[in-house]
Amino acid sequence: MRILIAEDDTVSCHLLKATLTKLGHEVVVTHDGLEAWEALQQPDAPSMAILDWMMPLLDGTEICRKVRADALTSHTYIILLSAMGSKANLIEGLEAGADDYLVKPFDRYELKVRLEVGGRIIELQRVLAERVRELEASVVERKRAEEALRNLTLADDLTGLFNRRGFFTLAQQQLKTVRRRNQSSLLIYADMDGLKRINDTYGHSEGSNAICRVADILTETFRDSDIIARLGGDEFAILAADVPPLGNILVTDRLRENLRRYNQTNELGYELSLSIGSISVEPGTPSTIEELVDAADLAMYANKRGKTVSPLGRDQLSGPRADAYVSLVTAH
Amino acid sequence: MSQIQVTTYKTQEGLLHPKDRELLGDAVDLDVLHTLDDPQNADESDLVVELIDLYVADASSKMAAIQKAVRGAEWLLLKRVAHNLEGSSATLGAKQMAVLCRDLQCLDSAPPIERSRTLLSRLEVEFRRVLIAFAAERERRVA
Repeated sequence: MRILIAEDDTVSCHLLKATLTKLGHEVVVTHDGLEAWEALQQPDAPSMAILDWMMPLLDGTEICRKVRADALTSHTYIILLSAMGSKANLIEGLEAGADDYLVKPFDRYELKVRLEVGGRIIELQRVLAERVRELEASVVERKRAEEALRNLTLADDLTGLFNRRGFFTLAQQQLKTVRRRNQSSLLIYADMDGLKRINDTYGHSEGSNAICRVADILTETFRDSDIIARLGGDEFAILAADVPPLGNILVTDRLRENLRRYNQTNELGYELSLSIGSISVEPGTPSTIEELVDAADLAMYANKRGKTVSPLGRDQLSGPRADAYVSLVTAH
Repeated sequence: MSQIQVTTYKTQEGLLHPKDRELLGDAVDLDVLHTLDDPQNADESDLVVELIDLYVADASSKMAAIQKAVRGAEWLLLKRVAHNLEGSSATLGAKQMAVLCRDLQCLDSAPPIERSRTLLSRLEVEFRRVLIAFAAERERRVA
């Protein structure tokens, strides 16, 4: 075992070093408290230290307190060595953070067995730390596996809607169908307003509830045949097939009405609000589903920014039911 | 390592006369020194001889520091050095020396000058006894 000794008395230091070396330990010698404290902070510092109580610059109890207060050194096993052998001294030393206390002049056999006690505790700490590392690695691995599993599924755990993978898989198929039938469709990108505020004010659990309520409202607003998905966080996408070019107005009116009704009846202390961007997809549009989602996202983003500058947005935001505001930007 | 102090206190014959040994009495508790011997490593260098040499060199300079501290009324320095010397003296069985060092540490922050000088005189006498005892023990071991 590597053991640090801190002893300013030459004779005691030599005897301690010789005794520890004979017992088969590797000894790191320091001659004052500051030197010992600096050595204990090194990455390869010994796991055990034998500290004289009375030393220049920093005494043994001061080092104990520093060691215990520092996460990097707090596991160091410390034996405090002192000529002061009263019970009061013993209590003071242990209270300062020493693990054991030895009175000078020390008995070599007593030192030997006390080192063995310390060695057992250090070994237990090592095994425990290794086990914790294994458990942490296992948790990370499990999370990675769950994430991989989630990515393989099509459903969103939280809301029961389709997830990103589900949306892109099904929407791509749906687009092919409506194009073949020469039908128009509507792609809507929706983003919740104020989720961060809900999380900060009511907690993340309530934030998750709010996301679920939005999912319910979207499900209520759209048809069973429409593809409704949570793409992640507070972002949703809907692909509604066979919607005439001006049908988006009807759909967004319905969504606005459903939100308004919900906000009137809920007693949550906050109101749900969405910013949306919609894309009317004509039969001849060659864009991929990814390109359409990006365009709808841009439209939504412009809409969200416009809320703070447009006369309509300002009026809505300054009113008591500002969060109920739903606006529409149509991009082609 | 300097052996000046050790040779100073050697007798002409090299070993102490029985009367001198009696005079030295309990200056050094040899039982304490013997506990430092390791019977399993008899062929290795003698740890006790190494410790005696270290003590003689180190304690001589500490004695000088204590004398200077008493003369200059530097009580904090006196307590620190006396504590240090007490530890090494007790480690090597110089028990009376250790007791006197402890008495010096127990002096008030501004003790009567006579009290500190008396303690210092007793310490100087005891130190000479300890040096003679160590010199004899060292000679016995290296012989």
